[in-house]
Amino acid sequence: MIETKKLTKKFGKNIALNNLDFNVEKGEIFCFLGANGAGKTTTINLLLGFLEPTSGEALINGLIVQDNLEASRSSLAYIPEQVSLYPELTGYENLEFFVKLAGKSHTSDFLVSCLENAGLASNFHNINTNTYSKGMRQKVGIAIAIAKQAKVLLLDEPLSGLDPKAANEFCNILKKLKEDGVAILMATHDLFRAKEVGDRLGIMRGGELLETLHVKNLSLREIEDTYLAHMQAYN
Amino acid sequence: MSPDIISKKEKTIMGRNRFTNAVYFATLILMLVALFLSWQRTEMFELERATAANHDREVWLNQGERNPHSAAHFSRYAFKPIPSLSAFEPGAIDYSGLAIWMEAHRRNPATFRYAEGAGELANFVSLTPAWIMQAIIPLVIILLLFSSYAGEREDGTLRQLLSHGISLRAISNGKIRAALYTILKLLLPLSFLIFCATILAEAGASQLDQLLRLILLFCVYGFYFMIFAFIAIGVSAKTSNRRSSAITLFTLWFFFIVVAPKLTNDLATYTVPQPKGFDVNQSLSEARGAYSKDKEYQEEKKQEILDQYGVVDVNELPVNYRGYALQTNEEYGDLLYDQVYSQLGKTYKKQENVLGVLSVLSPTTILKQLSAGLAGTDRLHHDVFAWEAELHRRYIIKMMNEDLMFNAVDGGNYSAGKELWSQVIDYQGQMPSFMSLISSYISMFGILTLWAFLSFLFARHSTLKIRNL
Repeated sequence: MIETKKLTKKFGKNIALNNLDFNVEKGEIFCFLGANGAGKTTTINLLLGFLEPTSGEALINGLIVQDNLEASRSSLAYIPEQVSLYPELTGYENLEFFVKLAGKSHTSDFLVSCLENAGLASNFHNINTNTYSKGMRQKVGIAIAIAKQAKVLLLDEPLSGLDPKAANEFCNILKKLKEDGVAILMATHDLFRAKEVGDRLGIMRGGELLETLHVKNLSLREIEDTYLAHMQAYN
Repeated sequence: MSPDIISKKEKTIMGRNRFTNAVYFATLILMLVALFLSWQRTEMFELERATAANHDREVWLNQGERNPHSAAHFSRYAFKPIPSLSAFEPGAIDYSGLAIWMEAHRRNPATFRYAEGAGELANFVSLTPAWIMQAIIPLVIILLLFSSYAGEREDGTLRQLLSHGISLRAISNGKIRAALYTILKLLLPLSFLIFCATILAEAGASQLDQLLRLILLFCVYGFYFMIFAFIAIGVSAKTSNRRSSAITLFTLWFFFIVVAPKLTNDLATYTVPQPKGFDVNQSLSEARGAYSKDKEYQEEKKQEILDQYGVVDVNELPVNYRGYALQTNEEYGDLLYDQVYSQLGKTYKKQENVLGVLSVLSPTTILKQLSAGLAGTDRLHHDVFAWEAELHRRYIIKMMNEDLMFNAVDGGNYSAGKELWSQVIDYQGQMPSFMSLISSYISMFGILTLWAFLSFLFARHSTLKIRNL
């Protein structure tokens, strides 16, 4: 569902991403771990087609992103650290707008159920999003992904700044989406949440994927030790 | 489908934005105030014109018995028809004069210039509906559209939109549609107000011509607003945030509206210098005195009438020779006056041509000329009035001279009375139809259309080539 082949991105002489090869299967959550500048966001931007690769390929649902920008984007949902919504529209209206743009036609009952499944309390559905907290905005982002029936979900630091309860709710929703067969790529600093929801973890540093860990076989301490070992080696 | 959804969202957001609504209603109220003031001014002009015309007629009819040539010197005024659209666009009406004194031997320029009596305040911009349309509405359009792309980029919603597989073309189409809707939302009520004011100020012009002028004004201003909308969208797409977009657009607005029109006027008068008032008066004065100096011509005309009646001395003529000589004097002067005024007209035309070329600097320059032309308040319309008044002057003077020529055959102290005065019909000039002058405006329509097309290309290119997300 999500795949990169020798994906490289250079900004001038700086190599932001170097020969990245990885894939995320249907119903799998892959978490990128790494410090700032490791290349996590660059990878997501390349998968979204916001950046052009210097070499290599980014594929979504089997389509080369650069050659099929709109088609590849239509099957994915993207949730950045700060979900951007139109402040003059309500949560429901934002959802309706983005879902319509994605070419989906749903009843208002279905859209309401999407908001509810994403965990947004019903008394907030018809309130302008300029009053929403970060967590509530992310719930609308998740609702959009649900309503859009996205096959791929790209998450860029979605947990940063969320309180533990909101982060926990968010992770539970991700697990549900995974069960529904969505391929999820999440860039995060949060080892604990990555261990909680992820199937595999990719440790990135300096634009390179150093190691991929299968979460099921490892404890949080082991993941942390591996991660720190890679980071210290870098320093 | 996507452009419709985006356009609908834009409209909803604009409708809910308090600032947008406040700006919109403030503009409508400002336009209402401007229309009321302009309408009052036009009404005042029309009342003064009607009163003065009646007074002039009364004075003419009741001047008593006198020599017709003396009456030709006493003569009458031609009052300029006030275009009803001058309530919208005064154009050059304050500067070109409202009446021409039609006296013998002299082709006078128009007098009663409102600007002369308006004092220092005339140096500042008057609150006219046209000024609001030319200067304020573009600013309103900028205020409404400067964040069109820059805001979305700054808030991250542009990335969000694109991440859903929406093409830049669809977003561009949606934004442009919403901008056109914004323009219509401004233009329709304002046009309705202008239409009402024009009907109220109806000054006897052809209804069809008025309607044509209104429709063309609507189109011209629509194009003008589109130019600013496209530029606003283009700049917004090229800038990284609201602040940069706003600063760039306000700078452009200031240049287009404030600097460029003044700069182009100055450059036009520098390139084609305005004839000095003294020189023009000198030329007119020379034209006035030329006949008396041209003894050869006088002799030629004298021989002509002697031959016509087969006599050898003016005393043998069956007509009054003085009346004949006065008329030949008039006709001699007319040709010279035509040359002076034609030269003056050519100078103005050259200046306008330079202005046309310099309108590449700002669409406002060309719009101002078109707006005044459509309202019937520009130089071209004034020239038609001045020429009609001149023809009327020639008609009156000829009537007076011929009366003297055919009725004062015994010489002596011949006097005419009310019977002759009442035969002189009042000057009843009508504003020329726009179609009769349209050839003079075709190039201006072309330039404005070119501006609209180029600004559209700029908006299109900027919105389809977005790189910095």
